[in-house]
Amino acid sequence: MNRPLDRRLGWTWWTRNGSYFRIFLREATSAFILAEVVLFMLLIHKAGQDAETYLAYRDFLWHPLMVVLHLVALAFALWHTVSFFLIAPNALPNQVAGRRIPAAFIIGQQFAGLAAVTLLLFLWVAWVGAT
Amino acid sequence: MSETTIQLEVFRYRPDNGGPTFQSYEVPYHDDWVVLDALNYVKNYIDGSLSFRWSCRMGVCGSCGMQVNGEPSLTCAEFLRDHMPGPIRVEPLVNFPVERDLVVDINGFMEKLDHVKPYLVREDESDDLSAEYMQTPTQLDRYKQFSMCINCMLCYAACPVIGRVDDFIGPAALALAQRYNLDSRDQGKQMRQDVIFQNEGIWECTFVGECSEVCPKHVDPAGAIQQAKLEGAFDYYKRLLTPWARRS
Ligand code: SF4
Ligand code: FES
Repeated sequence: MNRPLDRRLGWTWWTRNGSYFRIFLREATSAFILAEVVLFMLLIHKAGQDAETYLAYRDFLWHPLMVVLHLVALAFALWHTVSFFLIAPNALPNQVAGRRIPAAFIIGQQFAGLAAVTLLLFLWVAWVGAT
Repeated sequence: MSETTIQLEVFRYRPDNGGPTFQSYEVPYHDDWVVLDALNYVKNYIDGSLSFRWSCRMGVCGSCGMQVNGEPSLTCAEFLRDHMPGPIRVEPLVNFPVERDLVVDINGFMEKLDHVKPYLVREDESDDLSAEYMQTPTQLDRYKQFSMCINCMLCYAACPVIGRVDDFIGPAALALAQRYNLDSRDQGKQMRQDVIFQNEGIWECTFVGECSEVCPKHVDPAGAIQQAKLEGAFDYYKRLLTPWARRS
């Protein structure tokens, strides 16, 4: 008897349809985040060296191609954040202490938290810049 | 006036007859016909050799799942009118071995279901068949959504992880594990955790979410798996921080 036919999707699964491709891109965003983290850690490292090295590295980060990289990374990070916030209610238990939590409330809380943290960071940077 | 028809392109595979092919059938079009009606028309009037599974014709038994134009669907709930003017491509569910035509081998799935002990486990199991385990509506509400599964396996066909990792327990079985773990009458959580926390369990899932998209019963297996992950991580840290409370 012939073996049953194997029809698994395999490694090219992400080329199968639009929504798979979007998931693939969503996961690929992590590569850009990683790149930005490495660049940032290098920045801290250079800051500990002499002024010339630091300024040269800062100029490198301002190179037009690097700016494009930063913008792409920012867009991906925002996309990942928003899609994460939107699916978070599904990943949480539907009740807390016997009461149902509306999905809109969970989503709203996350955006509010993000806005608060962003605002605090901006204020802090502005304060450091002013002193 | 000539009768309106629609074309079906049906996946054919006869193990002793070479590789798979597609065969076209012209079937009458009716507004209220579903894909399963068209397949039954083929079987009854055009080609009796076509094999496929079905039973209830009302979205309850879960046996008529197939790929309709590439999407995992219950063929008894998929109207021809939504695919006019056609053609409609009908294939067996992907990710499963095909036995013949539209019939897939579901043994692997049944074994996975079995692993998660999808039934109430009681430590105090008694032979008293009249024993009652009371539950409030709030307790029922915690798991009710996850209990609506009809084992149609559409979520397995939609899941890219299933397509790559043979032993991944998969959406429906993990959702069922969560369904029983959340049930106030159940005491088998510890036994199930061993299965769902292993490598082929919840951590294999990357939250693609397609399983929840295709589920005809809105079970949201992807959500169930993420909830189990959260709970698992929480328990892990709790044990790490309170080693004296460790279970024997
Ligand atoms: S979870 Fe939904 S798609 Fe998966 S087997 Fe159950 S009913 Fe079907
Ligand atoms: S025939 Fe039972 S679900 Fe379609």
